[in-house]
Parts: sequence; C-alpha cells; structure tokens
Amino acid sequence: MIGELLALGGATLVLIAAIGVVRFPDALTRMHALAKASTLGVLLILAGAAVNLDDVNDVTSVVLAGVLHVLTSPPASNMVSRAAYLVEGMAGENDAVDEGAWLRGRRGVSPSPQEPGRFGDQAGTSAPGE
Amino acid sequence: MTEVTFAILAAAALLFVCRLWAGPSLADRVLALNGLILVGMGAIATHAAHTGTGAFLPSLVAVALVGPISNGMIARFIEARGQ
Repeated sequence: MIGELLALGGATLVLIAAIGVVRFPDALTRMHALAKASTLGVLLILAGAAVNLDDVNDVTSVVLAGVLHVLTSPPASNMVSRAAYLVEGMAGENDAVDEGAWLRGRRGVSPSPQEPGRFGDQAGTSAPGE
Repeated sequence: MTEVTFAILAAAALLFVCRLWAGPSLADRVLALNGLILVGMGAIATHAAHTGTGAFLPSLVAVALVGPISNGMIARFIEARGQ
C-alpha cells in the first residue's frame, strides 16, 4: 500500500516535469524542469518498489538502479544543457548577464548568428570584445 | 491505485512525445527522449511494486545506466557539430 502511494507520488512528479517540458519557452528552462523533478520522481517510484519487494536480491537491484541514476543523470543533464547553451545561446529574458559569452566561439563551436531577441542585441548590454 | 499511476505515466509520456515531435532544436528532442526513458523506468518500477516480483529489475538497472550515458554522448555530438 505505502509502496504504491510512493509510486503514485513519483509518477505525479514525472507528470509535472512533462508539463514543464511542454510549456517552458527555452531549452535551458526545459532542462531545468526535467532534471530536478524527474530525478526526485524516479527516486520516489524506486523507493515504492523497494518497499513492496521482499527478496533481498530485488531490493539491492532497485537500490543499485537508484544509485546509478542519481550518479549519472545530473552530469548528463548538465552536459546537454551546456551544449544547448554553447550552440544556441541564451534567451534575452532569462537573465541580465550572459556570463559564458566568452566560451562561445571557443572549443570549436561557431557562434550562432545573432537574432532579434537574443542576448547582446539590446543597447548597452553587449559583451566586451564585440 | 496502480492503474492511476500508469495513467499518469502515460499522460507524461504523451507530453514528452509532443515535445519530441515539435522540439525546435536537437537538444529539445534529446531532452524529450530523456523524459521517455524516465517514464519507462517508472513503469518498470511501478510494475515491480504492484506485483511484488523482481523479474524486470535487471533491465531497470541497465536502462538507468544506458540512458544518461547516451544523453552525454549526444551532448558531445551537439557541441562538436556546432549547429
């Protein structure tokens, strides 16, 4: 019973992450919605499975899956969002300061052509060196 | 209660498929695939919690390893492609 309640709560968190992925305007904000909520949601579902299972072998499998997911999922999300930032840049309304602007143009990533609405187009906010 | 959990997971999978279909960039599609992998993991664990049998748990461990590693590889691909 309590394991199924935990699984229901985790599935609700995954659904909230899915709504955030559909509705948020930018790749970075979508990754922000997915990475945090879905990590906690999957951990809750795994905890529900570990509560309901009896065999020690099954419980250790669930714990191993949870530990591997916690260890590998945040760096992967960080890598994907970093690649999206390096390639696409940052939407202008997200933040006032683009602190990684000097990273773009290095590391083999060609800077994207500036579009209206991107950061750096507003007067007085262009990065040094441009 | 397990039926409600599966219905919620199916709704989440439908929303992720919408983002996978409409995502403007490759990073959005990778993100939606990451969400689908999470829904699959949740479905396997919910089935194990419902039936009390751990027959599918090794596949859960394999998916928990392979999914984020593939995300990291595609991130390196996006970064090197520069598009």
